[in-house]
Amino acid sequence: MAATLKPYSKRVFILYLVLLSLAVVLIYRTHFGVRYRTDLTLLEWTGRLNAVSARWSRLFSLPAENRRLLEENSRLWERVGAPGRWRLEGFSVRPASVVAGRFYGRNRYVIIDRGERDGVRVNDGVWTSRGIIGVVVRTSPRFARVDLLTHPEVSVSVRPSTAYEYGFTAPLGPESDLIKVTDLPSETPVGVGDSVITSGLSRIFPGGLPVGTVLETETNLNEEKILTVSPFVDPKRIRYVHVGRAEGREEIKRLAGEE
Amino acid sequence: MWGAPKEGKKSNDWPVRSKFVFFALLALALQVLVFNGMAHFVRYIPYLGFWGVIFFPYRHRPVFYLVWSFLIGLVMDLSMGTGGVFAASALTFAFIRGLILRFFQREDTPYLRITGFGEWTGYLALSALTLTSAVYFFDGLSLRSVAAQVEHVLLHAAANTFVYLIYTFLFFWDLNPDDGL
Repeated sequence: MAATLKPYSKRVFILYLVLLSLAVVLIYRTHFGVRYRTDLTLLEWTGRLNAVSARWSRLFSLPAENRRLLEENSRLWERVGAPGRWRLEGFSVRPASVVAGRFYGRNRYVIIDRGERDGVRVNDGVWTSRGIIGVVVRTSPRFARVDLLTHPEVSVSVRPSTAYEYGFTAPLGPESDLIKVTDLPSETPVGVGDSVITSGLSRIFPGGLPVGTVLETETNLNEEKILTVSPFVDPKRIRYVHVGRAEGREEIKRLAGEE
Repeated sequence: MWGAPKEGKKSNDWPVRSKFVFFALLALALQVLVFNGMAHFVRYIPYLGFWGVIFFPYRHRPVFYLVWSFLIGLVMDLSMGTGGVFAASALTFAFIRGLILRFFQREDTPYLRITGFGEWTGYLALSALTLTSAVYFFDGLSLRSVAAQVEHVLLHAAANTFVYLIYTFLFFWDLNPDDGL
């Protein structure tokens, strides 16, 4: 009984694959569970392949991306000035770090690591991205003292964000973390929850920087509205600040007749 | 030899090829008309339709054998609404049947008259096991737990072996390929 056929000949194998594919297609069409699981598996593997492909494409595009970012960075530095110093609405701004401070009692201040050598001068304003902190009152070659808004000798021109009426800040009390805003006309449209921002008229801070939230309003016998304000910035928590110096401040003072 | 025809009765009274085709189609008809309707009464439906695949004379052309197996499986699928499960199983069995025969050191279908009862039953059992496993595999496309299916496959294969054995012994026991295949 001699065998006359080869079970795994190429022709037989191809025919087997063709017929098997046909059968599998029939199974796939009639078996909902198989179809569901197959689709799910295909989806999962497609997702994995896409993720791998995206990762590799990103890897290969990194040099171009870096070049683009470097060019963009150069363009931006050209617009704002040298690195470490930039301009904001007529103010020359530089970064600084808080190195010491006193946060209780009447004389509240912080010490920053920028001084005369870095171009910091008395009456420069100090703020963070969340709001203003205080004013430079004394400088050394490498450091500067910044009296906080709650210091009795610091007063900044501010206005409610809801109105163009201007007032000045003052500490609420010797032990308080709150400040008050005085000199506002009684008809100023401001209420509890409104924000107070810098006016931009003092040449210490640019206009529009956040100061705090109104907690209470009252009108005194002089028809003057007084706001109790909670500052946005807690000086105890800050580490990095911006120090801003108004350009042309001396010239403005001369024009205004101040010395 | 066990199962030998009685004296005076010739096994080639009926041409063997015609006899095989007739009993293969009869098995398929029984599958479609009788066994498929037993789904509500028995747990394991016999796959008697595969008889024509298991006993196909192996010396025939393999291409024809693959197509024949596929068609038998397809008829079973159409009657049961199982898509292509039986077609794929029969086709796969036909493709790997050479390996099964090699296991028995044979080059053609074992026939009862030649091999004796032991080897013949072994071939039937192994074929039934292969076909049943293939059916379970393609029915779930290997998405189910293999361990959970083993018991079902073994029991179902045993039932199928019994049915193939009875069917062959009743109608086809005296087949001798030397008679004209």
